[in-house]
Amino acid sequence: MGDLFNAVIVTPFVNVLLFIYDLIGNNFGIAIILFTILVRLVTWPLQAKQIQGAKAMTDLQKDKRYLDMQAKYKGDKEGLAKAQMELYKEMKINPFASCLPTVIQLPVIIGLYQALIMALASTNLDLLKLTTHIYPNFLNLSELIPLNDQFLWMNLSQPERWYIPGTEIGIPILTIIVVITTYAQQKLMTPPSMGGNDQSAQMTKTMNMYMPLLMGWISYTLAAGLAIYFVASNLIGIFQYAMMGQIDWKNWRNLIPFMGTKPEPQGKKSGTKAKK
Amino acid sequence: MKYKKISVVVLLTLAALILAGCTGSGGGVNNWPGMTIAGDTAYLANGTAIYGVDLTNGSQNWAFPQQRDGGGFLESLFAQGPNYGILFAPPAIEGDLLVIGNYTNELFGINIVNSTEMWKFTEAEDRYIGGALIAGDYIFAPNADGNLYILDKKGQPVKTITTSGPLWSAPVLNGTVVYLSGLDHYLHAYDLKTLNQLWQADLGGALVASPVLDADGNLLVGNISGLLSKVDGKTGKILDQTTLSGGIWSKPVILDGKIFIGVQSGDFYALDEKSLNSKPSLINTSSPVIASPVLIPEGVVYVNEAGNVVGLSMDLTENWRQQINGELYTDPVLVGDLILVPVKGGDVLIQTVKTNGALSWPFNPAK
Repeated sequence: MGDLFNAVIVTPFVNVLLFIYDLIGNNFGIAIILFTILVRLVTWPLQAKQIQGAKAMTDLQKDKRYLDMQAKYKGDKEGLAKAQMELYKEMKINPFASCLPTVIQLPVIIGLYQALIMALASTNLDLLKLTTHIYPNFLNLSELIPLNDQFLWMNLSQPERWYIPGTEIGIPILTIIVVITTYAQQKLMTPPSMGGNDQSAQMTKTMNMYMPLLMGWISYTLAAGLAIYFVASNLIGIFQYAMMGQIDWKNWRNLIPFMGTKPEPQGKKSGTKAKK
Repeated sequence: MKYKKISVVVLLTLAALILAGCTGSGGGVNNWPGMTIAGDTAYLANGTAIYGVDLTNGSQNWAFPQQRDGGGFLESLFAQGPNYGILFAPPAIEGDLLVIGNYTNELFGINIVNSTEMWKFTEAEDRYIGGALIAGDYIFAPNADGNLYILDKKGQPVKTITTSGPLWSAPVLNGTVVYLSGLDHYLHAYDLKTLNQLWQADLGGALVASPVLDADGNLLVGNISGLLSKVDGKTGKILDQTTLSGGIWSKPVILDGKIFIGVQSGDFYALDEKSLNSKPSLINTSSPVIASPVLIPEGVVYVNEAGNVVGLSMDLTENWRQQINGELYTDPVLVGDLILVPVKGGDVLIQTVKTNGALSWPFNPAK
């Protein structure tokens, strides 16, 4: 299974990444950014479907009938599920429309990640593995190795730090950028919560808080090339979302922690009252 | 609700650990062990520790640092004692001094007698992949940042020589000349006394293996594209070249006018020393041959990635074969009638094989 995954996804990705690197004059940082853009463009139709599916679900949650249904079947999970399915059918919404593209994209994202790790070979064993993934008729190994892993102030195969001149104090600038862009992407791409007691809203809130920290931890400890990929991927994601008109830039305050507008309690907006 | 929050955090943490794990062991670092023999002890660097192995019986007689063990990602997280980073380079040893660099850009001088750190050099900007060389009054430490750091034996910097690419192999000494292979495609030569460069030769591809000297003082070295070169040790002039069927990752061995070398395609060659382009004797081992062969009285022994240890006669006829669980990348070494074979990803760290093919003691670190 692993061999098949390598042959179908990782190996072609490695070759395309190194081809771009070769084409643009041996700049690995730019190659990572261009490669990320390329992969996101190719998977764009799937992402568009995912965004549309998520939007439809968000709109549904604002619908009066949906809100009434939540109140009516409170405590009756079976009844609620049945009523929801009927409403999905009536409104021609597929609740899995946003999940399926994500599932299909997952191997591509994992493949992209693995290709990046492989191409950043920084030990004998890594380089040995990399050479087995290069198509000899497509790329010239002698010309490619050693890969130039310097980009701006960074060594892409090492965790990034910017050292204050004259000191040994290293600031993880890229890690900070990863945390900020991950947070911004999460905030901008998460549908607004329907109420303070909404369980999924609480989960999303937790995700929004911890995900940037975890991505930051990965960026802080692993190769800078990965952090470049995270930043590029986050910014492209925001751009794609904006292109589809899904971002309300008027709510920029939501990006700043503790400054966002508080969601109205469930039921208040629609004027309904929960049944006991 | 509290449990849901916890489960989200746990899931995200697991995802992060899996991502970190995907990059190899120890936060993106994975390699094969490095081994050096000194006296009656084999010193094996493998992950977060160096182990001393008594060559008479295979027992552990030394360790540095003393309290750490394990080379895996999780093991390194929970290991006890001081952290000396990830160590895979073959140690350089002279008297009581052991020199080794790690993957967090530090080079250590260690007192073998009491297993303590004597000094630390931290000016490098990248990993120490290849071993150092102790020669004359100096320590030559190649680094992946492209610099050859030259220090005195107290760890004080003497000179830094900058090359045009990463340095992953150990320097080699011949008389008063130090030779060094580079990923920048060049074989470099430096004068041991003046520390100045004597010459450099472009060998057409990345060199990850150290050169080997023949009886005439010429150097043999191969690149990862499979080009094997013979270079004049005095002038750096290329005397002969041939292209083999796969990448060359280790140095060849020479005996009785024959050059024995294995390549990444799995072929194992016996080439004519006088003319590299003469028709070679050749066998296919079915698995990449990454480590150097080792000469034994009856012929030559190769090891391959698939875990085969194979004894051949000089005409490459197979005399015996052993299968070891694990991958074999590190150069095996002959000590007396024992061949020490370091193992990656197997049940043991070293397996010894007698020159007649019989298995002898294995080594695993003491718990």
